[in-house]
Amino acid sequence: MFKALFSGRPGEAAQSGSHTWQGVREALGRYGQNKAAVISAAVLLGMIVIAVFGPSLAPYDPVKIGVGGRLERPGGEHLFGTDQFGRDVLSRVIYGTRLTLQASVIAVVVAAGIGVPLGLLAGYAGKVTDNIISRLVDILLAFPGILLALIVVAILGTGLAKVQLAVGVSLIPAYARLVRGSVLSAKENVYVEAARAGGCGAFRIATRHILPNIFVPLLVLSTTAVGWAIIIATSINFIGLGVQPPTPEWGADLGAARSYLGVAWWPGTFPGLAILVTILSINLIGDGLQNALDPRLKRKGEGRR
Amino acid sequence: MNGDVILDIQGLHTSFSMTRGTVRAVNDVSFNIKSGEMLGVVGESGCGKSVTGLSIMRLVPYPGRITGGRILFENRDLLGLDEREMRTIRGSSIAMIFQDPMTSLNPVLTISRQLTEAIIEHEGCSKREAGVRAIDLLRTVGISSPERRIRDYPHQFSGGMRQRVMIAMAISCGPKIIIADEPTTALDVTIQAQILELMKKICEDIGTSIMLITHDLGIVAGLCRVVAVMYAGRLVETAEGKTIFSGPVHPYTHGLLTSTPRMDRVSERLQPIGGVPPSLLDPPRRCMFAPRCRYAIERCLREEPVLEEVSPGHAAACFRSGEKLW
Repeated sequence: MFKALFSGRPGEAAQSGSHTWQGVREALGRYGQNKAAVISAAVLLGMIVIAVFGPSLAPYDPVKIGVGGRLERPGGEHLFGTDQFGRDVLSRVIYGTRLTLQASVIAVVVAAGIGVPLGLLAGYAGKVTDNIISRLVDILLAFPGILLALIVVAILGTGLAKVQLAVGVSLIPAYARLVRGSVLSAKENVYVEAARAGGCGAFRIATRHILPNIFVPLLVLSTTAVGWAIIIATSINFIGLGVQPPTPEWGADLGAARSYLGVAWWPGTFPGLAILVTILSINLIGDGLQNALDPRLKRKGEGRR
Repeated sequence: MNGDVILDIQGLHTSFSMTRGTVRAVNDVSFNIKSGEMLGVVGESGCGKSVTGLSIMRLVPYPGRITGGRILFENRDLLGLDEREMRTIRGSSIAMIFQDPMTSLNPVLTISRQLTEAIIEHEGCSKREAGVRAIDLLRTVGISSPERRIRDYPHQFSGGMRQRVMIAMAISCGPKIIIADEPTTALDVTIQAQILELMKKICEDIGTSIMLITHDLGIVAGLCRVVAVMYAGRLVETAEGKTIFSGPVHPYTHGLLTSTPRMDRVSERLQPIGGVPPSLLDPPRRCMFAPRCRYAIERCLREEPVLEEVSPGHAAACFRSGEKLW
């Protein structure tokens, strides 16, 4: 990358034509060196495949009662065993993948869609606007995420779409905070002043000059936010305020199975493991992305070790 | 057209309201720039040069405020315009170049994006037309193979190249005036000379006026027809470039000259100006330079000198400007 700094000569300039991709390649290269992150990406990719092709992968109908006996042990015809109604746990976990991933992604889109503009506005406009938005965000942050989501569910009622919205709302403060902070530091840059001196309006500067500069922290936050969203969404479903039976969903299944945990560990353990593996891989991917996209940070970390 | 007054600043006051008082960063500054002319504004750090430049753009950062005066641009008072009207002037009629080319370009946008943005915004032409013009502009400022370089990002340019890009951005919409705030301070000496040469060329070829803000009298010497020396938010001396060097009248200007090495004199010991610039927080009414001035008389501490003509085209704010002090 630094070779390009001296590319005043035509020969070198010729090579730097597709440097955008060069940068992406370098970031991918750094990401590739992080084994945990690569494995996590593979796991998540597998999850996405399962989510998309779930219906054709699942051996049984997930809601059909009595495809096997009650609480059959894992193995044989039912790899993950059957639950208290004789439904196939594997099929339910497979079907649940789609619901969980979809819910968390939608929630994150909702959170980013509201939180990012709020943060931009607060950070860029400053003064009274910033004060109002920041205090509102502070209030929201004072609630634990799950409680905030519960409040929204309590207002809107139960159901899949409402859970997605609720989780989204509970993640807004994280976005607003991050974006506001990043904007505050980004707007002190001389190039922002230069853009103003070039006749740019506030909206244009915020969206075209500042937003691209905070893309990396946003991307990293979004990855982590998907993980949080899964925790919150499955928690709401776990306590039975989200999707209603017999819809297959990891959190709901885990909640339904907990009363049988003494006699049968499998109906609860497998959805629980699915939640664990998904969140773990998403968090590891987030770490990997952060290090790959901001190499300075990694070097600092290594120095400390 | 050449020689008309294009920017006329009259009694400009810009202050920053702090909790401890008011900082008078620019205090009753008046000067004008004629079209096609290069004006040098000289002074040490914190004397109000940059704030004057930003005041003209109406971009004084919070909590600063323009508290008085008029800024007549083509006979229109810029201080009376609303933000929307001001935006159409910024970048198109009055452009600005900043000190550090390493930070004044957005690192995540290509040169093309940054260069065409203003053209599209102000001239209302299509993306393709703007792209063609951007390439021409890069060629004008001396960047080789601009067709290829325009797709590059700022980090792929050296400091001098970036300042050339900044100049290209500044001239992209054919401005009447370019305010160059220490455009060469962050560059090494050979590149400095190239950039100054380029600015001179632009001034002569395109007829753009340039307000060159600098702390380096040496830069101003060869370039600017008129030089304004600022101290502590005030203008202390204005004269033609030649006059400033051959016969400065204000002790501060004289101090600046004797503290700078010169090629045209036998080497003598450089004489620094003792002390530091005064605080601009609620400044007292007296000559601001008096405490550092070795020619100060008692009157300097009681009264505030105003800018008075000592000879045609040469004015100074000093009670002893009529005497031969050195």
